[in-house]
Amino acid sequence: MKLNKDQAYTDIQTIKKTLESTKSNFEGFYTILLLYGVFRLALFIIASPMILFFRNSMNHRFLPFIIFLINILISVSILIIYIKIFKGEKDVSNKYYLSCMATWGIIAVVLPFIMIAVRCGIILFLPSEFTLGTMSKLAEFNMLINIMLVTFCFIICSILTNKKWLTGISLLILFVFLLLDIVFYNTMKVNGTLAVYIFYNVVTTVGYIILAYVLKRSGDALWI
Amino acid sequence: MDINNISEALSLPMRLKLISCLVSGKKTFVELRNMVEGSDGNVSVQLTKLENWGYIKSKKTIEKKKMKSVYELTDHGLKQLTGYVELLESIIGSINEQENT
Repeated sequence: MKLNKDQAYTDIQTIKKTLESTKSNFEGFYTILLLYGVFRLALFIIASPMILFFRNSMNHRFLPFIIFLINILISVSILIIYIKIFKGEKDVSNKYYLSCMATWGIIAVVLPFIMIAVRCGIILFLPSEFTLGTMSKLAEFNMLINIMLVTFCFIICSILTNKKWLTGISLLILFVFLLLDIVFYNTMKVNGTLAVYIFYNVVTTVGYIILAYVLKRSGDALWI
Repeated sequence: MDINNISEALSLPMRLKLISCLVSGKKTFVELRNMVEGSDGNVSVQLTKLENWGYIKSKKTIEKKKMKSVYELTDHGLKQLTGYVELLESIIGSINEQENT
């Protein structure tokens, strides 16, 4: 068989269209979102009782260290899983799907390590009187970035699955978080902090699990 | 892969579509038929040919008391498709260069 210019164009279009149309089960993104949500939920379940019940005990000084270690373990596991999934997706996905997965993934997966580096920098280089305030500010930024990431992820999934209500939920999450964090936190202090803490953790854990479920269902529905 | 000697497996759009469909993973006969929008007979004939040429392999499984054929791309098939895409890109690239000069 000989090839000419038109045939080459037609064949490459056929291959491209077929590859893009078969990429519809979102398997890689589903897996990473599910594991990310489950791991974060595990951290929340482990860390919350520790903070609530042991903060007044003798060993409370070790609490941040223990939570820090668990956090590192989970972050490293997520990083390894993400790299493995992304490598698998790279050869079989179109660039738009990969861009969505990479934009969210790189920030979400690398953020914990950036936070660790910044915390180390604060402890090592800042005078001790500024440490507490700076750490508190950093924790607030960390929460805001994670909320932005989850809302961004809702919008990505909204585009991938063509479900516009996911974009509505993302905006609602952002609105409620800002309301709780800025209005309630500054007016009610203790109750406000707890409300923000619970809302933040539920959204950044259960939110990802729900998104994974939506992606899974949408992917499966395309084959029925 | 040589421009004057393209494998017969890549010479029909239907076969090209079937091979491309399997790049993202295993597929059943029904899934493949729906994706390439072909008739049962035509898809079946092309799949048998591709299997005989070593581009794909099939396995029969039983799901919900129903027999199903699951198809998978072989390493040889993937290598041939990759080689063909590279050839097509080089052809298009050289044509574009000629048109620009």
